[in-house]
Amino acid sequence: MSVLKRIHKIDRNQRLRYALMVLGILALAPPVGFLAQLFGSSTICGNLCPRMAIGSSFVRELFSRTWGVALLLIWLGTTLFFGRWVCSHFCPVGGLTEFGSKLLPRRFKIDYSRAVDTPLFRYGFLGAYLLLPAVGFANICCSYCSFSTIPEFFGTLFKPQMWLMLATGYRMVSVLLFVFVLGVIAVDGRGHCHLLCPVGAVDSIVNALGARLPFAFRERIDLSKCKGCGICEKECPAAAITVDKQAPEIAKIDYRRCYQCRICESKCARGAISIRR
Amino acid sequence: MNLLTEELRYKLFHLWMGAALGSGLAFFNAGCAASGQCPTCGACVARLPILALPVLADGAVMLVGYVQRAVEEKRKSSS
Repeated sequence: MSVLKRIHKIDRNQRLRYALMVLGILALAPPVGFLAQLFGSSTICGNLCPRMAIGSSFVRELFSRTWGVALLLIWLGTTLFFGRWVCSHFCPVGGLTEFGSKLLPRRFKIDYSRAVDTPLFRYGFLGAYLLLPAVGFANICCSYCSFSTIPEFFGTLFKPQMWLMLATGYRMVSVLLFVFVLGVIAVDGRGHCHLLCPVGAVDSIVNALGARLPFAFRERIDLSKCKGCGICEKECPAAAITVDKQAPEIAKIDYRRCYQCRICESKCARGAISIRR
Repeated sequence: MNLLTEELRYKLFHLWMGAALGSGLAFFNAGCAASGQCPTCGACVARLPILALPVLADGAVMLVGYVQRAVEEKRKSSS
């Protein structure tokens, strides 16, 4: 009963987001993964992997793993016109750790977004991700990839006979890093999204570029309604909003950080933040 | 101007941290680090410059900052 009450208390935007996150998990993560199964994989890692489609292997992937490239283009296209809906509402990788992080009280969590300059960290990682295989060295995929580790870890929870596998070799390191250090103990459960996701890095660049287009939908602040109370700045899990009462523009959104979770929209008492052109 | 170089150094540091972590994970992925079996492919030697580039850039920006500060102080003392 208390669970139902808590669900009822959740804002409408967040309820829609959680519902779509569950749908994304059912579609692309084990044990169900109905969409992934249609394309011959059990998770987003495999034929549908959009991460492998980035960078030096793009041309090869275009012909050998067409669905991964298609998913990447749909992902980036949606971001360009409508904002980062796929990252915030549908990505099973971020969704799984975000739900996982809700099991832990906030005081035990680390706020990576405020501790590190997340866009730059992510671009540095993206640079290594693109450069290393391009100059002939090992790729970061797939052993140390959040797209393979997190859904696989979640799938393994349903198979007790596989639990021992998690305690061996590289799998243990990647599970510790992606699921726990950058997942469950991150404030919004998305430390790996903010720091180590190449798809997220490219997506954030597209998001920032798209925000300049007059026809693109984005989370925007109506400055005539904003009084600079700073609640959005405090609540934003990506530390994407800065409020400065002295500045000509009281509140500003950094679209490289914003992943359109719509928490600011839910928290703003004056209704100054909304998705619009 | 010094504020600009400080900001640039801060940015380079975070870029470098991301690149360093990426290179570290690639090391692990190649089975070199922690595996105890070096395939003597030489990849690590060639990877080092990737890690060194931001550090060098950071050093260059720091040097520029020092020079600027010295020039400014000299100007102030002469005037």
